[in-house]
Amino acid sequence: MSAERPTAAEPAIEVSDVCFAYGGQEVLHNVSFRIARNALVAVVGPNGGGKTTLLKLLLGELEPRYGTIRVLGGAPAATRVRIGYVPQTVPFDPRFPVSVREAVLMGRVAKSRFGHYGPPDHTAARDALARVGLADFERRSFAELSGGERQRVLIAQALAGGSELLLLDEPVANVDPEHTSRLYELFKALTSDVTVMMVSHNLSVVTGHATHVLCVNRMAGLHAIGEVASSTFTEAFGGSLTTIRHDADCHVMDPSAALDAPHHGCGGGADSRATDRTD
Amino acid sequence: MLTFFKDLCSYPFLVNAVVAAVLVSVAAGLAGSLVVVRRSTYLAGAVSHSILAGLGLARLLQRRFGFDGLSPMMGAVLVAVGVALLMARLTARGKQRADTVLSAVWTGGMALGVSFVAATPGYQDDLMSYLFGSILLVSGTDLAWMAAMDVLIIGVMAVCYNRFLAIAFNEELARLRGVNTAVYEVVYHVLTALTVVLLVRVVGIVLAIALLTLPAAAAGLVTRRLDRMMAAAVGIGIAVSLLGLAVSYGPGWPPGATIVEIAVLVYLAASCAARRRVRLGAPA
Repeated sequence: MSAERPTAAEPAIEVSDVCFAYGGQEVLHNVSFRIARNALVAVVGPNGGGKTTLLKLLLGELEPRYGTIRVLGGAPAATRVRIGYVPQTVPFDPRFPVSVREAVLMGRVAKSRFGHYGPPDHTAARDALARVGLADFERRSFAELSGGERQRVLIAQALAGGSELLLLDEPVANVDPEHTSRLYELFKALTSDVTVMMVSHNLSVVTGHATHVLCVNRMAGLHAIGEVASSTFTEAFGGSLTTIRHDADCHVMDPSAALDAPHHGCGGGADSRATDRTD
Repeated sequence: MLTFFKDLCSYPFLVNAVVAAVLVSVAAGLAGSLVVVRRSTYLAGAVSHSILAGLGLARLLQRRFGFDGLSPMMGAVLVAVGVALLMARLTARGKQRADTVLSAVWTGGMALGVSFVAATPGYQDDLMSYLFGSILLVSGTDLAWMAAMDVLIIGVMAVCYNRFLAIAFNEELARLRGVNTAVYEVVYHVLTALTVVLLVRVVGIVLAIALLTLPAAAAGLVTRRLDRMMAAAVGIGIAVSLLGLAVSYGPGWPPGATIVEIAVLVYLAASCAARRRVRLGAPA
């Protein structure tokens, strides 16, 4: 297993010429990119563009039709336990009887023996909760938490399990603006020793925090944040965009410019969109 | 109720009934808590009703074809485990719509059971007792089976508790964290099925689902941790079963039905108390 640990020079994620289709419907076409360790990558693109499919490929939940994927130095299925996945929403019964500590300990569930967590498990859970700023929440019920706090607990769960790569599917979709900002700050802080890849639709906030932007719309293009311009998003979404905040290089887009724009490795026009059934 | 306690010292069948009530409450409290938090109550319903097919088939083979070693309870166990394995396989990762499969198993099992009973020579009055249970007729052998089941369930829960909790919380996350969820799903389904078989002996096919879920549901209203919920469910189950047994004995009411009626009252009381706490601003 240690042989598969990525070296400093080895990328956290390496995707080469990957194609994926649901039946005859191609969702991802010739996708290639490399993500260095400790990056904070925002995955953007229109609904149905293949973002969630890409995450599932990186998790080894789906197999590419063509091409290769290496995550943390190995095949996704083999390195999956070192990847922390946080879904957009967790279908959750508000009366489900679980404490915050128990929820975080679940990150180490496969490591527990004979149904019990040992002292190292509890230490890891406490450390993970401290990292996400919820050190005092250990004994609280998971059901009592806000949406943003629950997301933090799920991230702590992934960290407690020793994840080296976090895949976050729209982590701020159900979170209020104040908690959204805190979560992005958290993601940034986590990159000191973890690679973070998150799907997001909040383009202006993304550009304020991410180190890279991965545009996905059937094809994909990875851009360092310094290279991102308004046209990058227009081409990724294949249509008009309106951004509310202007703290990054994003402006109100001209729809006609988007339709005329050339491909930028991000997919392109509306005619190239495919249906992503998992989105 | 006084008659019950007076006769308890005189009649071994009453002692058997008390021991049976305690033993099935342990199994029901543990398995039932998982059933409740996973919202899979209908699984228990489908298993309990499909058991009639096993009871009927075993009796048919016994009477018509001379399989004397095959008791109705053995038929019930075989069908319950078979149904559990089928359910685990068909509903794994959404291969089939769970509600549709449950409906087919529930109604198909009952229909087959009725057909088997009809095809068996003679009147099957003892089979009919499985519909509403017969805790006063529990034998020493039954008690041994119940005790063995309790040991099995306690052992499995002790070893698998963390994994069951993680899967109940979110199956996808548990799988991605390295838990072989398919195996644990099979274990969960089989344990639930075997618990239902025990309950059928006490309260019958029709009411088994109530004794499995109501004490656990009431316990879930007063605690916020699964392990405490299980302990409380066992306690509530024992109290409800013994009270039902004692209350029904004097007037000659059906004990299974009385036990379930008391369980319903306890659940309603716990619901009211939980709502009141929420209104007063305390954690539910």
